[in-house]
Order: sequence, then C-alpha cells, then structure tokens
Amino acid sequence: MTAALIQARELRVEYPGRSGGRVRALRDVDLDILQGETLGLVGESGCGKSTLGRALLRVIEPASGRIEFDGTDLTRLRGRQLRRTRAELQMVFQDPFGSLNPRRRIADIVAEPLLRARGATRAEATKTVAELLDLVGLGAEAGGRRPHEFSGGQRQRIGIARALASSPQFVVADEAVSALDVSIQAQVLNLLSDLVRDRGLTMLFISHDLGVVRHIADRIAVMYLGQIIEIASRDAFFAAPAHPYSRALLSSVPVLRPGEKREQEVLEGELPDPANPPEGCLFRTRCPIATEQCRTTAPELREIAPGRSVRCHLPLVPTE
Amino acid sequence: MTSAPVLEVRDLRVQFDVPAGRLPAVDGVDLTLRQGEVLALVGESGSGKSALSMSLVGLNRGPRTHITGEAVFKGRDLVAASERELRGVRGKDIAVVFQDALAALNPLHRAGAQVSEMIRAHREVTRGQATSRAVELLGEVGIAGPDRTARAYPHQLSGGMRQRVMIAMGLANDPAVLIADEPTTALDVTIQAQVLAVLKRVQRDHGTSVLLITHDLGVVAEVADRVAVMYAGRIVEQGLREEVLFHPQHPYTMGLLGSVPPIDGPVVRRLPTIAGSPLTGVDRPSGCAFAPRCPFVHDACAERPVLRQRHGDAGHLDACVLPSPARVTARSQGGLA
Repeated sequence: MTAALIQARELRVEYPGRSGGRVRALRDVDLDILQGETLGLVGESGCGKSTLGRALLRVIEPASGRIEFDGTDLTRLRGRQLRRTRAELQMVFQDPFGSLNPRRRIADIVAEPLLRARGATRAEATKTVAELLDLVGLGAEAGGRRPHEFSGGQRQRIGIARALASSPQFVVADEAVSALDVSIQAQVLNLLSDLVRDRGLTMLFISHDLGVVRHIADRIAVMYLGQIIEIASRDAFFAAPAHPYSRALLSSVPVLRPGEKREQEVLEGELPDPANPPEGCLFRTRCPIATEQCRTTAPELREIAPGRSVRCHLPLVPTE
Repeated sequence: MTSAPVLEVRDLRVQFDVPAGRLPAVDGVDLTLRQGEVLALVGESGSGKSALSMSLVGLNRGPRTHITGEAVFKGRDLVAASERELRGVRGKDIAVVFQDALAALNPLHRAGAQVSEMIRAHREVTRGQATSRAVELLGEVGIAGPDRTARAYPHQLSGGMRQRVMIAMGLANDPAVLIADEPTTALDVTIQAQVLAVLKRVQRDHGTSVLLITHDLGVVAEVADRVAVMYAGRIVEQGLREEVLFHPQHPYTMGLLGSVPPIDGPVVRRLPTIAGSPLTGVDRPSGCAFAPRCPFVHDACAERPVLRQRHGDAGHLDACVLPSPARVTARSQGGLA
C-alpha cells in the first residue's frame, strides 16, 4: 500500500455570493493523493476542480479543513515555513500566454522558484535552468529570449520547466495541455509523463478532457458541484463508471470509431446554481435514475470495492 | 448518391498584410458544399479554416486583406459581390454561428429581440409576427422555456443556452447554408452533446447545408457527412467521414488522428506525435507544405501536390505523392489502423 503524500480532510472553500450569502465552491472534500501517482481530476466548468487544485497549494485559502503534506498541516504554516514548503508544491497553468511575464527573460522566469523558495545562488540557478530547458526540449539557449518569441506549445514547456525548477515533490497541472492543438498536445503530454516517471513526481492532473486524463492518470476523481462523486483506478473507471454522472460524462465525449454513429446518453438540463443547490443528492435534478431517497438524503462518498468510492445511493457497479 | 452543389469554391486565396509581408492564410482552395450535407473543415490553429469561411460571407474584408478566386452561390460569385449584395445574403441565405456566443450577441438586447431582429432585417413581417416566430425558433433549438428565454439578456443565460440562441438566429430565415465556426468548442461535453444533437436535428429537418469548422475530430466523427482537412491554408485530404477518419491517406491526417488520446481501447505509454509545429509565418515551401514535418518526405515532395483521387475510394482525394505501400506503413505509425 502506497502512502498518501497529500491528504485533504473536510476541505471547504467559499466565495461571497451575489446576494450577500456564501457560495460553497468546495463542499468538505476528503482526498488522498498517493506518493508517486498521477491523479486525474475531471468535471465540467464550475465543478470546483481548479479551486481544489489551488486550495491544495494554498493559492486559495480554505475556509476550513486540513491539508496534510508529508505529515505537516499546510493550512497552519506561515511565513518562512510556508515558503520553504511551497518549493515542494508547484503548478503548471493552462494559459501559456497569460502565465509568463512578457518582460522577463526565460532564464529569469524559470530561475525564480529556485532563488525564492530554495535560496539557491545565481550560479547554481543558472546551471539548473540550463539543464531544465534542455530537459523540456527547448535547449539552454532559449534562456536569453522572451516569452513572445515562443509558440503556445513551447511556452507550456517553459511553464513546466519553471514548475520543476525547485525540484518539487508535488505538481498540480491545471488544464496544462487544453489550450494546445492536438499535435502539440501529444508532444507536451509525452514530456509530462516522462518527467513524472523519471523524477518520481506526484501529480494532480486537472482536465475536462477525458481522453487526455485516461492517457496520463493512474487514478481518476470526478467532481460535481464542489464534491468528489467518484474515485477509482483508471481502468476500473473507464471500463465501468459507478456514478450516473460519470457515465453521462463518458457517454457525452464524441468518439472516433468506425461504423454507425452510436447512441449517446445526452444528459438533460444544466449544472444547478451553486448558490442554491438542490437538497439531497446534488446530482438528482439531472440524474436519470434518481429516486425519492435521493431527494431526501444526501449520499456519502463510500467505498464500494477496494480502491473505489462513489457518492451515490444506487451505484452502477456491484458493491463488494 | 450525390446531391447538387450549393456552394462551389474555386482557387480561393486569402492573404493578410502583416509586418513581415503577406500571410497566405488560404492558399488555393477548391471545395464544394452539397445540398443537405454537413461538411466538416478540420484543421489546427492557423490552418486557414476560419479565414476561408469568413471570406465566403465577406466578414474579413478590409484594406489589409486580399481575397481572390471564386465562391459561387446560386449563380453569384460571393468573392466579387459588393458589400451591399453580401448584406442581402448574410443572415438570409448564408448564416453564421460563431464560437463565442457571448461576444457575438448584443449584450444590451434581449435574446428574443435579437432573433426577431434577424427575421425583420430580411423579411416583410410585422413586429408581432417576428416576435412569435422568434419564440418558436427558440423552442425548436431545444430551449425548454422559450418565452422566458426570449426575455432574458445574454449574460443571464448559460453558455449552452447562448449557443442555442445563436443557432436560432442562424436559422431565422431558413438559410440554404449554415456556417458553424467551432460552435461547441467553448462548451462542456454534456452541453456540447446537447448542442450537437440540436444542430443535427435542425439540419435534417430543414435540409440545411452546414459548413462546420472545427479542430475536434470527435465532433467530426459525431456529425459530419464529409470532411476536408486543412493544413497551412491548403486542403490536404477530403472525402466521406468514414473514409477520411478510418482510412486516412495523407500523413498529416494520420498524424492528427494518432495524436488524439482515445477514451477506450488500449492505452499506449507514448502518444504518436507530429514533429515540429505548424507553419504560421509568411514563408511557405514551394512544394508540399507539410514536407518539413513529414517523416516520409522525399524528393518528389519538392513539387506542390494537387488534391486528387490517388489511392482512396471514389471521391476520396488527397494531396500527397506517397506511393501506396508507404501509406500503409505511415498509417500504422500514426497509431490508427
């Protein structure tokens, strides 16, 4: 049994709502991310997957709950301790245009986490940056240039080099390949999976693209309206999703397959207003198999088979 | 069975003046859209697919744009047509649905008013008739409470709802041709599935010919009858959906298909990739535009290949000089049998 590197417990994030109330973006999330694994986090816009990724790194302050990283509670860290721990936790962003300072040289962008969080000397940083730029396939000479001289795929490589600069143990990749064309996306995905393997990284890979997640993740977690509704190994999940929402999500993905166009299960309706969520199960308003119980009682996330949990009264796979 | 052509594009070229010179966004395209079909124009960023479609309705005309060639619709050349003539065509005979509905809709007008405005711009009807037709149209595109939605402003609607309003506007005058430019790209998959279902249904009910611009091969597989693949302003392959997606002939199409990680079947550790990045500058090779990235490049590629039937079935065209056995090898390396 692999130990958890990150353990989130009852993690709650709230935003001020339009009419003075609080909108709950994360509803008491419990999540373990195991040492060395890539956990794929999927869900649609507004489900809270980016909020969860950011809260784990304390880029967003949770309203309550705990985040244990390697035995320390991140939510209690302050000042220098927090800075030092941050070196272990890094992020790759979606937007390869917005996330790099256009005025700075690539070498300075990549060196920053090293200098700040690790307290490296200039000379050490210069050497590491050159190695990193080589590693991500840009070559050390890229260091003297500025972001506008690079294409979207190359900028994403720069973002990856920056995230790796402080030799982190844990990386959150938030829609890291979503803005790229498919031929470039495949290159960057291959690079990421090589780096994860070679450096023993633990990664939370957030994406709305189920094909991409299936390619890179060992386990899958699905979110809906601020809750995790299913966690399973990659193979178990794609073979037979246990939550009705997971099944609908998979069924909605257009597939490249010869023959007749298949029957899709088209999910009706849209995401409920997070400021005014339904009672009982949050998915019941769109669920094709909802019953009276789903209206009155909110299901808990429960383990239905080893390594497989689902938040549903009527899971679609047999319970062991 | 082949239906009659509705729109015939011949040797279309669209060039933009940029600081470095003239950018050949569309570089000599021949394309036919037939009655009642969904023709998908597929390509990556900068391949020229949007420049092509926008030039058909004169939406990218300007002092820095140079458009030559022909686009014949109902006996009239849209490239040579005056702006005044095009105003009579746009929204009436040829309608456009854009990707970004929030930007395309007027934020100050209610959804219903924007649909009825579209009707009144081209038809002699009373305000009341246009309003009730607008509500009908909103119902047709699968909006559950069309009366309520008609009174809403765009910002009060979700992305999926706004895209339906765009489609309702597109259909307002029962156009012969609907150009849908990445209509579901900004939407979540469950909402995308709803909108694609609406698009398919109205296309079938109205017999509309649809030119669907997309980068998403899954969407193509879901809705297209025929497919044209663009690379660097040129069409490199064209044919029936089944042919192009499952028996690709051009190495670029093969590479593109191989790069998409699927949601079923075996998981490969490394995805097949296409080396390098797409051409975006003003300088283009005189021969095959894909040659600099092609693993099968050879001497014959120095000459620009014409798009014609080579090794595919009838109507399956490609612009590649590769001989047949090499194509089989290429296909297996692209990751798709």
